Amino acid sequence: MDYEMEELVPLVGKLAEKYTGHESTSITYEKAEQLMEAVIYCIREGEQSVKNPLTAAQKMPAQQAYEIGFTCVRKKAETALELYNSILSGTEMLTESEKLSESEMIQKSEIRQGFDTFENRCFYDTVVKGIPEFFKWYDPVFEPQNTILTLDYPVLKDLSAYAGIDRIYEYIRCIELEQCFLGIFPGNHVKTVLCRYDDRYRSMIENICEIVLTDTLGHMMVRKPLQEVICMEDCSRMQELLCRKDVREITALLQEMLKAFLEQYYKADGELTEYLEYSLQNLSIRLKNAAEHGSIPGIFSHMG
Amino acid sequence: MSQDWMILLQKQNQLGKLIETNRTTQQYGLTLSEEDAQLILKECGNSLREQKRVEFGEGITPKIIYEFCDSEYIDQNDYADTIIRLQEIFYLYKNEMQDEITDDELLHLMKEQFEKVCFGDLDYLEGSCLSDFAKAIRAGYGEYKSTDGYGEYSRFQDGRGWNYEWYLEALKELF
Repeated sequence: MDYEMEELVPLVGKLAEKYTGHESTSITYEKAEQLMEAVIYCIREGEQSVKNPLTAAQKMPAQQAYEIGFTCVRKKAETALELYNSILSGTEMLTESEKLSESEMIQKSEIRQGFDTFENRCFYDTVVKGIPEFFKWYDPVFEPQNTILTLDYPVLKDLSAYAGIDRIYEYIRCIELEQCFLGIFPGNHVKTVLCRYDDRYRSMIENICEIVLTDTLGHMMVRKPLQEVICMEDCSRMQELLCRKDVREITALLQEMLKAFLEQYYKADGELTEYLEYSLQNLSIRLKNAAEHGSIPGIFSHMG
Repeated sequence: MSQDWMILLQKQNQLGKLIETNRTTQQYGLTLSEEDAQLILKECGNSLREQKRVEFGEGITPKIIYEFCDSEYIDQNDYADTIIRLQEIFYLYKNEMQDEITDDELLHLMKEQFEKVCFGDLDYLEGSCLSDFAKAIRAGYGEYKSTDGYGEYSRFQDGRGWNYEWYLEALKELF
């Protein structure tokens, strides 16, 4: 719903008075622009939360749209915080004796997960240390559009279109999905894969899920148990297979394998599938390129 | 983002408010004609643009007038020009003090300095007293908050009351 500047300016004026505590009659251009963005952000947030957008004839006053949107922003911040806390607290971690081997994977209804940073510094700094700072400093009144954090740990979904609490909420959702996926694997499997990929994995700034997913799909492609290492012979077989396919076909193959994996070891979760699929296009291109140049081993390891 | 919408933020009917101040200021021998008031508002807009600020609500000019109207250094001859200069100085120092100071605190400070240190010299007010105070605020000084800007005039005098260039200027005016 588009509002004219004449409708928005009075809201900015009220926000400016509030911002200055009624103790100033002027603000800088920079501050005025920030407050205008705050008004627009809240109105947009409110519009996105409505299932049936209003028609032009039903258009509500800007003040009302802003108040509804502001309530949505605050609710989203509360929801994001609750979600974050639930991810971090997790449920009881399984002991080693309770964890099943690959052949006895935990059934989808019995998955229990605890939060794990896998000793990756970037992940820890961003998720464990960084996100609480967001909630501490986030200003839903005067700057709801500010994301505050740089979110250095990369997730698979492109969040560049989001800002403020929207971006943080989406980011936390991505982390939740990653923890779900990584929680499928037993014991130290994830760290083993990461170490095989790069023994400096603790200090790397790469998506952990993507590395584990790539390894998993690679094993599936050559029908090898996960705990065994992909050898040169496996890479040759993969190269032979992939050379015969174009990128689109490779993507389709990866999607099929991903779906089969999740259905067997997790659940038919559209959300997790959709999230992991964000990495498949890029993986397909890398695999095709690697197959054409005989560098398939480099997909699974950055070492040697 | 286009800044045209900021012009909309400036409240209307400021002209009426300015003329209204005559009811108080006339006891001090100061009145504004409609022409004066329009000039003051026009210059106010220029100052705001120059300082990249936008005004909302009532505007600061009536407050400046009420604060300074009883000054012994303002008379009818230079009334409008003085108000225009005070507006410029006000917006300049709101920026220089990084909006750490409220309107009232700055006005009270300006008035005290104008009366007791600068003896009505606007150049000295702009170039010395307030400049020193702004530096202090940027460095974290905040005691003025407890006094609403009053009683600060003696704190920042650093003995620079004598300025060679101003001395030459004063000499030229005398002769």
